[in-house]
Amino acid sequence: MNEGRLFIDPDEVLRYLGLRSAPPDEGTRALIGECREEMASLARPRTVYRELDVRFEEGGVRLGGSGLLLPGEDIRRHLDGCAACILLAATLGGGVDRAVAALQVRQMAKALVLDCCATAAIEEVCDKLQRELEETLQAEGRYATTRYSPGYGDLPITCQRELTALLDTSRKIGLCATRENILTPRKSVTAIIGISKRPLPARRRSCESCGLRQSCNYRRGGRHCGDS
Amino acid sequence: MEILEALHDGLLLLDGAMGTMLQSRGLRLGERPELFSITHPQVVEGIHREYIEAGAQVVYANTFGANAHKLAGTGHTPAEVIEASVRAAKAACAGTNATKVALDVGPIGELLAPAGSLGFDEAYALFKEQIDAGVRCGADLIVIETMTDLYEVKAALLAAKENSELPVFVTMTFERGGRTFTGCSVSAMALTLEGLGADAIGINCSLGPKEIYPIAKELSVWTRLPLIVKANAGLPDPQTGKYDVTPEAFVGSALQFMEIGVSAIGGCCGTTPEYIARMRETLSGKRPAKREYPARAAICTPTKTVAIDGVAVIGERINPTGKKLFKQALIEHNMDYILSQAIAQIEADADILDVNVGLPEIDETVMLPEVVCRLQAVIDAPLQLDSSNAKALENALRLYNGKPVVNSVNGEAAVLERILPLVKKYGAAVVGLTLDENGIPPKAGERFAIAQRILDAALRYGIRREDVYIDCLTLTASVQQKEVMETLKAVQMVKERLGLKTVLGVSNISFGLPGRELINQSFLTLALAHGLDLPIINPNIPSMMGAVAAFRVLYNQDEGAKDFITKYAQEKGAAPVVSVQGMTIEHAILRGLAKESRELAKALLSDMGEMELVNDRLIPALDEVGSRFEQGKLFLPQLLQAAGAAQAAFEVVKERIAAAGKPSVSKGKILLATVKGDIHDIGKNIVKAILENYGYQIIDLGRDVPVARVVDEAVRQEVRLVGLSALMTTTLPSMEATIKALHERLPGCKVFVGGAVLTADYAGKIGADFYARDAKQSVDIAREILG
Repeated sequence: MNEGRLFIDPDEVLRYLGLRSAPPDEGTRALIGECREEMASLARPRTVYRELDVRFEEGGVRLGGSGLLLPGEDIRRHLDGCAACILLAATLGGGVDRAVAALQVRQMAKALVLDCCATAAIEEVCDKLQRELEETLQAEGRYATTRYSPGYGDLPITCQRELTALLDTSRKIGLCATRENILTPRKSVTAIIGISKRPLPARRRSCESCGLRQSCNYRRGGRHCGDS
Repeated sequence: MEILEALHDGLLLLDGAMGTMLQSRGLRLGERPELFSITHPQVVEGIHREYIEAGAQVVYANTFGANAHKLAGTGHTPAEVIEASVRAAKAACAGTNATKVALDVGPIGELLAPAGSLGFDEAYALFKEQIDAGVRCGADLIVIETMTDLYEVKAALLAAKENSELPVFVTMTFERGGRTFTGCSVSAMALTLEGLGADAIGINCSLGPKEIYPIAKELSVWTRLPLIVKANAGLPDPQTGKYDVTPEAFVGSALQFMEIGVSAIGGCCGTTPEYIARMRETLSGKRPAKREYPARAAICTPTKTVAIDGVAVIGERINPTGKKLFKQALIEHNMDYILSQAIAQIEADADILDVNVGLPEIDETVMLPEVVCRLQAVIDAPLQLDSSNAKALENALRLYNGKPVVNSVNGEAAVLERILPLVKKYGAAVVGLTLDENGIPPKAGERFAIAQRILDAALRYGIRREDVYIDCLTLTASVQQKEVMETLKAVQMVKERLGLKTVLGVSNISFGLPGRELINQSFLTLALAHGLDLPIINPNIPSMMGAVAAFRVLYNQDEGAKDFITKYAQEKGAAPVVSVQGMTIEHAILRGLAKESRELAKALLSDMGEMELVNDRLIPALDEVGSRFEQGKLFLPQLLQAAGAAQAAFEVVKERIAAAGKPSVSKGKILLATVKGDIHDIGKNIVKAILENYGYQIIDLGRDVPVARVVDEAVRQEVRLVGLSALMTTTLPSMEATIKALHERLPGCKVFVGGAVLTADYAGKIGADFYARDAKQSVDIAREILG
């Protein structure tokens, strides 16, 4: 999925910048324009995914007969009614990280804007993959849930290493997790999409149990990560 | 080493895939393939035997991921797994004395810093553990494969060379565009690995033979080493995972690889013993084509190769000599200043940067490698390591990612003996100065003789001719006017008679004369015409870069004057003049106008003192920006742009203070760090940018900083305020540990914390003295503590 130009939604960039209410000033607007352009050539989006069976067990969900048990109630709820899931990983590659690091030496404002463009870009990469997967599934008469990632709700980010190992992401897309379970390159995502044979009711994950609730830009903007 | 003889004599047939074979024999999802050697040794041995029967002359033991990082939590050590795996491979070889067992070393599975948090030395230690085990079990060779990060390969290759006598093969994995995931190019791989002493190099995995072919072809013109290809059996079908190249087609591709001189061929993912058997049937008795290798002078980083086949500019600005601000930055450990000097030179089109951090107050053996690491994290240009301190050079050479230049050696035997072995070991190019224990000879002929001596010594140490560059030394025209011509003559002689690349530090020529730029530019043009390849200049001076650009047109190096036209065509008028009419410095800062702010600061300083400007104008302007930020009238990007503008004014102040020889402004020291384990540092850097503008001296320890380092540095520098940042829930414990250690060792020191996952409550719980919600609050805290 490297074809086509990567679209970076300027509204999303504004949201990540914390500029939800006020219109940006001219300087910021110009920076956003510049950074969106640069991001489109810096990013090397790569994705990998595979379909796995899921088994509901005490305390969590087991993936594909592997040793990996995703712990927590929230992932159980997310996959409720699903017999399978798609485990996916996506990254923009390390060039983005380098560019953001280099800008931080002399152009902090631009570094921040480029970083926010990158966040918008990786979400776009995931959205695009998800749309493609949904279409494929639909053609097979199957239905997909939203994406769910480590760090949401009570699903800990400590499962990143095992998720990346399961997808062999270091070999397939150059994505690794550190010992502290931080994904590298930085602008990367792992996520789980449930697959069901029946249409799924719209579900929202709860903010109350979410590890990100203090810092969540959706919440700050009075929105929810499940909003489309 | 018979294996190497086999490589030079004809085709060496390698084995095929292990991982996909194991999957077809019961390896479950998520299981570590290497553990099969312990749990199912007969299966592993059986696979090896099939490959041997098919004709493989080398089998790769099932040790690909047998490193301590990947085996963590499995209950097995690398030594155990490697022992079991090599034993299985050897058992399969029993009775076939022609087959060799390779210790297979794959990627660690974690990115090295700066992309990740794994240090180079840690990576080296992980590889060393594998190499040691492999050697103990009697592996016949070492294969480092499926690598995508040149830095990781360097760690592995050094570990192999320093801890074994075995032949080492290295193959990396490329994407279709001819780059690895981390952006490493084919040329960079070849230059670096040949320099570091790999015995054969090549490509494996990820792509099928058709896609690898053009990449292998490119590799063949960048190295003399024997070439290896282990392609996948095509590309996997995304739905079924089946590979699409048949054994017949695979053999056809192998023939093509032999035509471009590839001499070791096997298979990677999706291949089976059948693929190897077919290759043996068809290829046995055939010889790979002889390759022509054009010797070329080139140096590189993973992402940028500079081939010196025309003029390449070496930027001279990373050097404290005669630069007060640079000296101060080195002493205060202000890395951002040094990095900004580098970035400015790259933006001015320097090809290579000279790095000299020698100062009596500085421990060069620590500073040179540190600066190298910081530079290579943000710029792509290759570096010239400029030091006469062998230990500093070795430390920096070890951590350099790519192939650098060492500046310099000279004709003195002791110097050559000390430095050349390092140049050879780490695969660098080297600059030889035409002087010796008797000084700089006045005549060109004598300098030429020293150049010859240096070249002979380098060749004796096994350094390639094309990696020796000669500096015939620029003398000052105001003092030794007659000798200027001798330098030019010597350049010509070295170039024509020895065929070596030449280097000259240009700016020295005009010392002591007025109109220095004119003399420099004229000398540069003359030197280029006499055969200078690598001028060391200040690339930020347009007339110097202009002279190079014009020379490249006139000497037909810039074909069709393309570069020249791109650079100079739009330059109708001068750069737009910065107009500051009717603008106050407060206004410029508030609007984030850096150039204007700089000009206004210069004007203001003509009738006000530096501290007056800082305290009465800049800080109040920043306060206004800060208060608008707090009121939600302006936002973070504007706050940072304002900080950038204020920074520009501060630079003027600093230059003025340094020029006057006064002590630098500091309202107190603040130590900042992102805690151990955390590699998110943009928040910390935002805080730094703002705090610096208020005149605080920031000691920035960077990210992923161990507890002890924070504490030691705070103690050493008698810091009263420390700011810590963490962005992930998983790294908060490390923040708590750092706070605790700081409070124990430095009871008077206050700690403020910030980061996305923190709240005021939580900050209190982990013992922080303050919680800073944003950069503005950190200023309030600093004022409270330091004034």
